[in-house]
Amino acid sequence: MTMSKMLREAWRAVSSGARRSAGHVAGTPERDAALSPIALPVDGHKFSDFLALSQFLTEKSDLDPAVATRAFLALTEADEAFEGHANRLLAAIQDGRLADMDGFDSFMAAHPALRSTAMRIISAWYLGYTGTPAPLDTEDDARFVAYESALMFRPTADATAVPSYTRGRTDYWRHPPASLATD
Amino acid sequence: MMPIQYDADVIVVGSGAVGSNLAYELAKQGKSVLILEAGVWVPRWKIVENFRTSPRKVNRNDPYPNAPWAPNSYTPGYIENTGEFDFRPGMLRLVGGTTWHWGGATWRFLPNDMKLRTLYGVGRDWPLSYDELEPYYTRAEYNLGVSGSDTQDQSGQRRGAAYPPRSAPYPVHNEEETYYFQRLKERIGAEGYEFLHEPHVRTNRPYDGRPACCGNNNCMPVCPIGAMYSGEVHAKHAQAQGARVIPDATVFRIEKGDGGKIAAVHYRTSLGNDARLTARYFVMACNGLETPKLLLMSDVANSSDQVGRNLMDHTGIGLQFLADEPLWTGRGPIQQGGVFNWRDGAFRSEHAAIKHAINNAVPNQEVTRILLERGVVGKKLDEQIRHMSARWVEFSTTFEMLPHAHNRVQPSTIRTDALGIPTLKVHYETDDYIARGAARAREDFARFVAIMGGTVIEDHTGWQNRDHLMGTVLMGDDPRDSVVNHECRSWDHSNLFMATTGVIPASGVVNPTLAAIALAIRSADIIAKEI
Repeated sequence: MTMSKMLREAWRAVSSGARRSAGHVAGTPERDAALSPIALPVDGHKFSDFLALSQFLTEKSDLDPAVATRAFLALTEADEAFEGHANRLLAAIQDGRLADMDGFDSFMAAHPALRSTAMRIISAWYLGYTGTPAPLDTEDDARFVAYESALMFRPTADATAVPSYTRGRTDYWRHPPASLATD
Repeated sequence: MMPIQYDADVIVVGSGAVGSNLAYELAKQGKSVLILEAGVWVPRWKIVENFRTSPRKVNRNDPYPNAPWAPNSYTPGYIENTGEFDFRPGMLRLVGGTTWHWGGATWRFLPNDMKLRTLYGVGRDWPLSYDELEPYYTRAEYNLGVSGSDTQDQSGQRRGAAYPPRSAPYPVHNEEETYYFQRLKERIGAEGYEFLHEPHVRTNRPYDGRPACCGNNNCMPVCPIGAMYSGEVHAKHAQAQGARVIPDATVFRIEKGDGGKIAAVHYRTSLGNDARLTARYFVMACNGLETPKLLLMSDVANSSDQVGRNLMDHTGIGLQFLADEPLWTGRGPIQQGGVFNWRDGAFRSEHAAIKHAINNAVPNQEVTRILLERGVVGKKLDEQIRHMSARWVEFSTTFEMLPHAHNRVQPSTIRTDALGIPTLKVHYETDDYIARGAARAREDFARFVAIMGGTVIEDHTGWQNRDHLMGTVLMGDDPRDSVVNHECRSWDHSNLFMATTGVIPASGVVNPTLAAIALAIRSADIIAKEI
């Protein structure tokens, strides 16, 4: 088996973390003792696979296991075949046919059946939900995954607030962010 | 003979911004007031937590209560549309009403807005003048803590002085412009477009117990700190003045008495218990859809056959594009103003007035959704989220709709809620007046994009809801073709008033809540004199 370096590292960190209690992943901040360990409603090994796969697909080594649990459950609830698809995706990556996400498009051109599974996982981490939320309706298939830690906010964290979590003061908005010249 | 005993001097049906301000004014003058609210009373922190843990941040009603016995407007089937347009405003049912989530815009209508028929030969006139309403506008602005500019011509016609006339300065000065707004104004404004600051209810200094806005960028669906005004403020103030707020009380019948007066209202609780309450005066303040529904269910106030008709929204269209420079939309409040060249002018005999409002919501979710749809992943995804979010520009354009008798709301004949009360049936068609306005607006869109060196994301949205419900219990001079007079008093029942944006007979292009509150304060003064 020739796992990519990143996936191999993720795999090691996650597997040991999941065995300990699934409360910790290398690279995540220390969590309050009262909040950790989280109780995993899913089998530890499956969960390790999912978290490792998520870390590879998002290129993030510090994904929160609690968020991973919600993402895994939401995706599985929405599609009971999800786990099987995710396993095939993981196996394909582990077989060395995808070294890192720079090669994603060409890899997916060769494995079109795996693309939607990969995008569903990436989407859950970035958008913080699965399914399609309805703007003017109370019924839809959307499920909550994360808000403040949704990955879509990271690239702009220095410039804009996660709505409802401002760090500014009245009238801070008069000036652009300090990074303007290089944006 | 024993004197007649009443349960209250005044019963107000609905605890939203309009009804609660009216109730407060009456309670302050020593009248006994009951406020009946279909929904419940929910503390802000719960709504904020509901928002944060919701998977549908795009859905403004989602963090709010939605019970089978008090369904909100997004419940499937609650609004049954029979027209070509899916009319679906985000109306709430809880103490404080729908101003829990609003942009908070509190423009005044212009004197000319209120003389549309006389000046431009279309639509209807208001039955009172701007000068008659002005003192009540001022009181409404002080109740709400409106932040605004005391120097600009808000008609967009560049008179070079503050307009429309005001008897007092704004209670809160206008906040600083966002960098995003400054840059759009510098570049697009240089080409002849008139940018105006929008008066609004996000106080920027402590006001009436509310803290200053610090830019949480979440006015919709919920301000986490209560800097933005909602009707709950005056539901509480009314209570402090001795009014009683009764939640979980859905009024389903208005009972007629002797001499053309209203005798009582009947409400039902979530447990199915009914109660009958009497009062000297009754005020219907349950928004522009539920108010006419209740009147029609009760066969009340409808000798004109106008109840529920003339439904208007500021039906709109939108524009999204990426500018050629980083502007960093999303810093500060969710909106600050827009472009107002088409707010008034002789063109109104030909096409609708136009408001180009500029949105300033943090765009990450929309940007990321688009990028994921395009299959962008990895480092490029993070880079593109930052690049596009920094350049995102969004306009939300609205048009002045005219009243048409066929655009109407009625009680449903096929569906009821859990209390057995009919839900809503709506028929709504757009017209050529706003279609011609939209054609003009799209010319502006093309220029905005060109001036900003932009790349269009979306410029053909189709018609959109703006949730400004007007016309359904409209006021007028003639009892044969209007529901209430200039006092907002029913032509048919001398002790029945309407306190809702539904009384507005000519819609202009500005958000109607402040006008309805001003009219309601005026109604409260009239009622107080008669009791």
